[in-house]
Amino acid sequence: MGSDFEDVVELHYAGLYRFALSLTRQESEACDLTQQTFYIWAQKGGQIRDETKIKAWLFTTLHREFLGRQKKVTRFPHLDLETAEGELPEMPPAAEQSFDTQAVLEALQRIEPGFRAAVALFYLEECSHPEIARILEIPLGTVKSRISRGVAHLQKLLLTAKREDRTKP
Amino acid sequence: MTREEAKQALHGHRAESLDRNDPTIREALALVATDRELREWFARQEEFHLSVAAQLRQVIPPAGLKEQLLAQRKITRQVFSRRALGIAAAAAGIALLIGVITHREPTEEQTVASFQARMVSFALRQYRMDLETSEYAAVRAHLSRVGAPADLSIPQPLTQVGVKGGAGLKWHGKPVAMVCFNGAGTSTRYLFALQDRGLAGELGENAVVEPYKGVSIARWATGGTVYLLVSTEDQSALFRLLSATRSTRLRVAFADAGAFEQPIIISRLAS
Repeated sequence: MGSDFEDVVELHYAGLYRFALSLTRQESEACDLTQQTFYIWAQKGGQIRDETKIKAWLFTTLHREFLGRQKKVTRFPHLDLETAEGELPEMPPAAEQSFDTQAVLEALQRIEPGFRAAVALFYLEECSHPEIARILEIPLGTVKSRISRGVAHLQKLLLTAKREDRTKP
Repeated sequence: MTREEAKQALHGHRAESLDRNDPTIREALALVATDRELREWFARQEEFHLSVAAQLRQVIPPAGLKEQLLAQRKITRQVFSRRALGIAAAAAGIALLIGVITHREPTEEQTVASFQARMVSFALRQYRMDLETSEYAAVRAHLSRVGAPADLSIPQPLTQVGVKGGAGLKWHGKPVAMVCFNGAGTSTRYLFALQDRGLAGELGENAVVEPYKGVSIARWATGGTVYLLVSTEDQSALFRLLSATRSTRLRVAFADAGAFEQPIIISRLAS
């Protein structure tokens, strides 16, 4: 194996878990997906010779597992993600942009499932657009579109929630 | 390029990861340098990205997850025949897939079915034992120490095959006892026990033996505790094991069940 199993777990398990949680919404499902990813890594990880590709391999594997499960469990309504109209929200000053973790997670989980993975990687792993394209196995143009629209949706959700909080008595 | 076009080009990028070789980005950044309103908008975007990323990084994986992941590696190093390992891996893949199709909902319910699915998943992964010993008393003491059910009603035939060890697990925050018994060859039979009167009420004291996700399982309940036995041996072998002390009538019932196609009921396991 290109890298020691323990080192790979140490380096990537938290990021993979966060990514899984952002996709599944459920701690138990996120743990299961993370475990399944490392299970596959234990079986096939030896095929990876280039250690710089381990992270992308793990995230791709987890995402494939997630998609595989979703296909069987949930029938998403068809949505042409690439043509969905996006409108940029008005951004308040920085001082008004403090959100708590729970609010961010909830908002992330409310954006379109097709956008969610790209947006999660954008924030969680601070991946570049080309890296996200490799992980999600989709064209770079699609990644840019999904991140742009997904982030816009996320902003709307968070800012709306913030405004509603402020108006509560 | 207009201000709005620049916003569209820059939106969805963090400042640090902007591709400055992209002509559109370069043009948008040039406009940022000269347009105060656009510059302020871009700064607010960056604040937003930093705030969201910082919050998401605060999500901490559950305690014990890393240890479980590391345990998986040890499992793959266990000595099994290549054939057995291949079959187990294939069964695990198929079972996981089937499990997702048939049992996994986005929200896992606390039912006998979901408990069974999760525990079979542990067995298929040959979950690492906390304690490896042939002394049942030591396993019992360990289970008690970690807060798992320890006063178990072990079917008498199982007590004769010998124990390998055990572990304390969690399922929806509830402690689960795992006791491993010797199986055929180097294989392991996994017995899981969960104290839950609600779920126990769904089961009876009669054991149901049936094939499940490429393995054989037996489930029953006694005194408010749900028991699930998972084995890689086929249904008939598991039935023979559990009904070793049962009457001829049950063996006939098994034959009538049409081998492997219907659940087999063993009335009240002797313990």
